[in-house]
Amino acid sequence: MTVRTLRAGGLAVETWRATRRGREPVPLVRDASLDLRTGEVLALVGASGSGKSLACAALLDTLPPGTRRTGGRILLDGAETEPAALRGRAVASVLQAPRTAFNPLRTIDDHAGETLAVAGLRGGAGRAAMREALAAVGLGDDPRVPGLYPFQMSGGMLQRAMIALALLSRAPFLVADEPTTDLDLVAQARILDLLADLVRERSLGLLIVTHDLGVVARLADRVAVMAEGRIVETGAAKSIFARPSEPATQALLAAHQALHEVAPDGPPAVTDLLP
Amino acid sequence: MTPAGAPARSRSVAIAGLLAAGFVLLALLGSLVVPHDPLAVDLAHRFEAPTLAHLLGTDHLGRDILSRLIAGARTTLGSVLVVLALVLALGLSVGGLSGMLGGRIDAVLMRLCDVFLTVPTFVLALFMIGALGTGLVNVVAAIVLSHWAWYARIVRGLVLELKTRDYVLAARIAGAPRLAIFVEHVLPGVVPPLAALATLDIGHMALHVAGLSFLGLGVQPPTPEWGVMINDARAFFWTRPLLVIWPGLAIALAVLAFNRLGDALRDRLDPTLVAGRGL
Ligand SMILES: Nc1ncnc2c1ncn2[C@@H]1O[C@H](COP(=O)(O)OP(=O)(O)OP(=O)(O)O)[C@@H](O)[C@H]1O
Ligand SMILES: [Mg+2]
Repeated sequence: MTVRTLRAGGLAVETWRATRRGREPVPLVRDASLDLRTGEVLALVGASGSGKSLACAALLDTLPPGTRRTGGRILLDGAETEPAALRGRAVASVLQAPRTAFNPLRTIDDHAGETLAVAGLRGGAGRAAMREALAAVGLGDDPRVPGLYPFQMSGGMLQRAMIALALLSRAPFLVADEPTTDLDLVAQARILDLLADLVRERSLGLLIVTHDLGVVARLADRVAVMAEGRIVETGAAKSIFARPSEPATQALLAAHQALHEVAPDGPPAVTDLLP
Repeated sequence: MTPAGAPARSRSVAIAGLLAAGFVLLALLGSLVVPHDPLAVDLAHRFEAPTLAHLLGTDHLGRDILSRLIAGARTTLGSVLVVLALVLALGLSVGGLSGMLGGRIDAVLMRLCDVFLTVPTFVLALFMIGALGTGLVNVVAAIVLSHWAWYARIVRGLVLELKTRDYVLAARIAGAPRLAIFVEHVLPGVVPPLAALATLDIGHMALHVAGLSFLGLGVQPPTPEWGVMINDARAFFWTRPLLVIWPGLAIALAVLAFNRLGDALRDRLDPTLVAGRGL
């Protein structure tokens, strides 16, 4: 299987501040570069507000109102590509809050239809693809699932359904911005397991944003550390944990260790729960 | 919520619904049930009191009033339905485009709306009729032109609000085209409040049609229309008040019924308004 690459170079995002002399740009993301290849997991970590979500949104040009992209090039397999053309075709996404990411008036089937339309699959082929995708995320046993409305499903089921939609798109890359933050610990562990399996079996390229260094240790091949809108350190997960060179990375590691040392009887780390 | 008020309220909604359905049926099928030709003049039987042959009596030309009222339902409510269809089509497309596309297109379309919002219906109607002559088509055009911008504004506001939903972002990230997003995720949120508003406006627009026709600007005699009938009967108001009262009652009942129905629809959609009214 050929390795595909997605490279974002020099992403820059800014917002505006009203001053007496007019609008003044405020940089939020500066010169951020991300390198993804299929079959590999890149974890994007950093303190809250460091610009991780904006960097991901800039990759697909889906920035929130009030911000705009001021720089950056996207290269898909080495060829420059419009970010909007990546959506649903080269890059699928899993959002943080599954509850709100589904239209409450539409069934899972309806949502799948939308994804299939983007992927250009219709009729029987589409239905077969959907059965396969639901089975791949562990929702294949219950025949009711396609007809369910979002409110009839648990958060973990919805997050699985969202991953199924991502698979349905056949996109080689997957961006997951804190995909487990809204779930309980058991559901978190299961979703992370699922993502790890999918990356291995389907040779996806996964960009995962997370706060949890336990997740990074378990999943990631490479890590990019963000601080104040910049990517301050990138490298293999092992070497970054062993020899953090940047203050931001050291602070993250220290915080993680403190959390797990201060509360030895507290909730176990995600990794401890896994077989 | 006041439990005591609820049954009375739902009864009034049921009555309003029946009345409104009756008016719509009359407008659609009235020509099948009219007892007499609404245009047939019979000078031998002018100003007849209600009899079995003429249930509501006859007017100054001996025409059957009940038949004219039924035929008038078609003229008045039929033109209101045309007005609404045009207003909704314009409002949905302009407001939808404005909200979905944003940016410069939004700015231009909304300034256009501002212009139309400043024009009162009667002034525009007088202007158009002065320029193009009297007639139902001009009245309908005037009402449409002076109302569509309200709908466009409301649709745009709803679209902007719905666009911030996570599932719209999710669809965008999944690569769905804008038109598909509009139809799948935005329109279902726009239609219910718009339907409530349109129902509320049926009465309001019926008043415009009847009012302009009463002034002699819209439908012309002898075409049966409620406003025209009142105008016809004006001269005999002191001697034959019933001639004014019948079409007046029809207008009042239609306006009340559709208003109550629209109110109920809106309450269903926004329960906070009901709670607020109870205070
Ligand atoms: N729509 C917006 N308008 C203006 N500023 C914004 C907007 N969205 C985010 N920001 C700012 O951009 C910065 C980076 O935000 P971002 O959401 O990317 O952080 P993050 O690293 O994802 O944080 P978290 O881990 O809490 O999700 C923050 O300082 C935030 O205040
Ligand atoms: Mg974030």
